[in-house]
Amino acid sequence: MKRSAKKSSTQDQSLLKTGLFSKEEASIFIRTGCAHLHSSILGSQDPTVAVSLNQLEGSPTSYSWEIAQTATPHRLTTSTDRNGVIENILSASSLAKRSQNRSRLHQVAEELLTNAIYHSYKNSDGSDKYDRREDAQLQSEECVLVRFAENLNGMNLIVEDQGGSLTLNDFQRAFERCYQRKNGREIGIETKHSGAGLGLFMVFELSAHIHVKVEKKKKTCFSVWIPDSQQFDPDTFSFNIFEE
Amino acid sequence: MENDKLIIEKVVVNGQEQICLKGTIDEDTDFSSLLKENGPMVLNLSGVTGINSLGIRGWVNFWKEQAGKKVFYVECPPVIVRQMSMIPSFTGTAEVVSVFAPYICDHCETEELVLVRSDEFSATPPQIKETFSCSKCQAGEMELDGGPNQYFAFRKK
Repeated sequence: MKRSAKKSSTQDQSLLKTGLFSKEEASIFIRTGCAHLHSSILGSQDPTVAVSLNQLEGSPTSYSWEIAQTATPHRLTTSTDRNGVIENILSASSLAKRSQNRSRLHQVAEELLTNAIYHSYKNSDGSDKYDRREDAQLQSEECVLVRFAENLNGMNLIVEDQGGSLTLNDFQRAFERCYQRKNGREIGIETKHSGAGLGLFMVFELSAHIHVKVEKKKKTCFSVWIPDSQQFDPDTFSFNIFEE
Repeated sequence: MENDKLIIEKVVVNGQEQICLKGTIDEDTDFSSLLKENGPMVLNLSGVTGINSLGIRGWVNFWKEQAGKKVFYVECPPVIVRQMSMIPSFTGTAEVVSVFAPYICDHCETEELVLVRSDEFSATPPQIKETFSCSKCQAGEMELDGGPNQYFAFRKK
């Protein structure tokens, strides 16, 4: 049993990229299939790496920054609920009294909630069930849950939808559009694409840690850590998506 | 204009005609009123309070179509500076003339926006005030909220 567990741990480490990267460098790894990435001056010794390895082995451990897991959730049943929920979170947050924290938290929350409402629930042909340009009234079983907690170092926001449709490929396509350079010029943001790609890119840029857990066609739990603006270290971040 | 979330109006500032944007930029924003402008456009963005991903997409695609026009961004607030740093195509071919940098007091947490001109933020390192006395509590020092390299990352684009 121990031998197979050790072998599994070794095997899982190859699925996880550690080192010190920029977000743009990290996006290249993600675009080429990396679902677990940690950038830290501590490299593979960063404590979050051990949590990712445990999760890859099936142990339900949590990252130390996921302090909102036990928070009472806000419930969204309509798209018009978004602003109210975001304002409730911002008004309850001490860190958000500072405009830089407030602005970043607002932007991340808006993108995550909008994606949860408009891009999680699909028609049978795979198209989005709700049109982003119209108000959406979710079914009772489609309720989006939002949890928030903070400490002196930053803010944890967790958005859970009941669609379970987010994939690593969504991040790859988003980063392909938003990071790729063509002939030395940035490519534009094409109108034919929905907004979900740019939203994922912005969340990746503004967050220090991202942990996504997808139960396919059932649930997506999108958890992010937004550090206090005065503690933001652009080189320390992690990205982990677990698709079941 | 456009919709009640964003107001676009002409003002004269120190003898210069500027087009002021006030409010939030999102999927409902209609930039078509800007098409009526001929000649160089000075966009004062100090009143922009928020922007989402569809607003960014609309902005980028609108200015891509106006590539031949001379456009200047003045008094860019932190929310716009952040987009310029994250998304190079957000600035497009426009020239950034001035931005607001957010300072915060380490004692009373009063916030203040300080205007930084292009000759100041273009220098290496950016020629900005490191600290100055807080005029509110007079006990603390105002310092930039966040690192200068991070805040002025748009300079490299």
